[in-house]
Amino acid sequence: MLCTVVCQMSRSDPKLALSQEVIVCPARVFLLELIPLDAKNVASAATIAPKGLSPETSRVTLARWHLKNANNVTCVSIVAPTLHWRCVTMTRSRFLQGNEACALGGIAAGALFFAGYPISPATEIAELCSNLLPPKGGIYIQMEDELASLAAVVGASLSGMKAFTATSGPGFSLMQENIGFAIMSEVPCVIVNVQRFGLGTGIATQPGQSDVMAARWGTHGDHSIIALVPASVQECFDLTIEAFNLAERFRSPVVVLIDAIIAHLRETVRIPEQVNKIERIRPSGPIEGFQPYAPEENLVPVLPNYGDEYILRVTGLVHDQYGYSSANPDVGGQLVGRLIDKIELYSHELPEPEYTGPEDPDVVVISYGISARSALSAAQRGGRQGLSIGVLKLKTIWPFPEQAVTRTCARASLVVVVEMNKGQVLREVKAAGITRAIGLNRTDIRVIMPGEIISFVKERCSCAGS
Amino acid sequence: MQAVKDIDHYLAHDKLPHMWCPGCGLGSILKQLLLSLAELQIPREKAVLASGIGCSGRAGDYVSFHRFQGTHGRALAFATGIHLADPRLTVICLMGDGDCGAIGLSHLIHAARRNINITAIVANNLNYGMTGGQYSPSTPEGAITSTSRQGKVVNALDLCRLAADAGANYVARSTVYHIFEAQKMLQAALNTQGFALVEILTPCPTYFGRYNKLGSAVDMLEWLKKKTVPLDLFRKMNDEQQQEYFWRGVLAEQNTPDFLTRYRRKELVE
Repeated sequence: MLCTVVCQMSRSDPKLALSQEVIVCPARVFLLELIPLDAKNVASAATIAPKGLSPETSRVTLARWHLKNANNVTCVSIVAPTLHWRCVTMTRSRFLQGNEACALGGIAAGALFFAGYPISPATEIAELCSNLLPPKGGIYIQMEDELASLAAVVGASLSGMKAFTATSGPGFSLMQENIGFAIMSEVPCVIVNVQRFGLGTGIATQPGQSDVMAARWGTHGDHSIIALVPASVQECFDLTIEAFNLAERFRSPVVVLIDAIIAHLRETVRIPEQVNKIERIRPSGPIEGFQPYAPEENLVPVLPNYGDEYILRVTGLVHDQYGYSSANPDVGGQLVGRLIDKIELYSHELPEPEYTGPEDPDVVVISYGISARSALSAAQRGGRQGLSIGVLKLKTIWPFPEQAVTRTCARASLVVVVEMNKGQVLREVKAAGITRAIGLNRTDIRVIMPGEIISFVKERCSCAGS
Repeated sequence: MQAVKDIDHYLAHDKLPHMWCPGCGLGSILKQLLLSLAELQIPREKAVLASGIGCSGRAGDYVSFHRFQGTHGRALAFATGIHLADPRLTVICLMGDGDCGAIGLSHLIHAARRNINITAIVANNLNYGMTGGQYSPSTPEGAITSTSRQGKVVNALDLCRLAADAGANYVARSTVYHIFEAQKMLQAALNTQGFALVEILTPCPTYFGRYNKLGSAVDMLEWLKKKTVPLDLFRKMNDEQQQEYFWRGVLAEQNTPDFLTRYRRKELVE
């Protein structure tokens, strides 16, 4: 078996060398970190040592053990004498469906609770969770409807389990009241909406991207919300993890908007063994007189879980910092203001849109989800035909990344928003000041194809002559 | 019987007096619940009072332990998550008859069917009090409410029978008049491993009593006494007589393993 060892180790001072080696092999990638062999590191090595091996066992044995227990790796070359191997991250590739990646992303982020109700085209997420969560000590529960599903998720989150649910348009509509409740009572949770076509019951198994505004304004009352839009199976995994982290960071529900194509698409996904997880912080200070809803400097309160000595009072009514309901206009105004500000003022922490293309393009295509994949392909193909097309692929759709959009579009003569709806993001682009933006929209379950985008651009762009 | 002083630490004294109308039974129900918690020595940090929307929904404002007030009708669904994620908690749902019997009825049936380890209390005042006395599913046939001025057309829904049929481990009904009986039932419910429902008929002199000319708050208590009969007596009545009365007593008492016990057992098998 061939292994490529990429070594970035500084060998000048082996005691201090803090470096990484990546062993790349066909199916898996191992990232090995070389760390100085002191007492602390021996202890940390012990935590990953195989049973029966003392931490003092030679580094070579330990390294070999890691590699032996990983498929396809048979040899390893070694290392400065005072260094100890530690396996930091083990990445492996899996061929996954978008929905599966989403479920695995949630579990990788630390989710232990899933409550849901079967609905196409999101059901695989529930199915996978029902298999994977119980052995981890987690809970899968199939509730009587989507209202109850999100209610159970909110309840579980308040008891301290990271929790999520997955649904599609009709179920998403049913969840809206409880989404507003979760925003109001600041409950971290993740709602995956695998968008299907149409309003009403639509076409159950066919794709759409028309729940963008439902994600933003579906629940009543002034509010802000975070919504992420994966455009690949990898992003289904990565952005679901991100969604859980953001939910904890902002203490707010986060929506993952997938479309049915991405949800059922199968692609190779790199799954690291360890992912960056934001864990819930416990309150501190005196227990008597504790105010669960007193915000920190970043406007987010540190709430206890049920069962904690710090008492948690949760209500969807306007409430004071103690969590007691209040009809005071100042309390109401300040609360709603803070709930919006805690997200909007920190929206720079959310995943930025990705720009691909020439530095100063004639045409900027703004897109997301499956449509962004077509746009990327169109830009590449168009480039070969002499068109200068850049693609701005959104990752965060709410709050809308206005600054990145205006910055990218500043000098483009043509701005096209490609989406499978009647112009829901187009409206936001225009509101961001790019009033010349035009939409390439389709709402008939058919994916917008790259050729369609190229023709659309050619018809409208004077620069597309060549 | 637990002394009243023992419930002091369960009460949010600075929030009292409560907002309920004079003569309403919710204060008595809350007090009996707190006495039951004291009797069972449930520590403050391990109790969660989950309520819905309506008069009963405000109960959480008057307790000093963990409280949850969700969306209308969904208290049991939220509580399902609260309980499953931390089964060490004693989770109590306090709901009204409109909250639990209309908008949230499916959650009652399914919580009972799952036999989830939650204690549900329905404060049944026979109408929607908070919104001005409209008829609810448990309003008796013929009763006058703000939305049934000529008398309610449909007969009342018996939430207890529904929960018992669905598989709840403990189901009982009493009234605010029979408050000591009610407290015993609350304790039995809290001691039940599995789903328990205690329905407590409570006077609403402001709306139901006034619309139906039942007199003062005290008269309404008398009315509850007159209108209820023990379950065994009720069973001997014919259909026509049964329409005139509410039964009181314990309808179901069994020891079927609760949801989580069965869920974890299955996991071991796998």
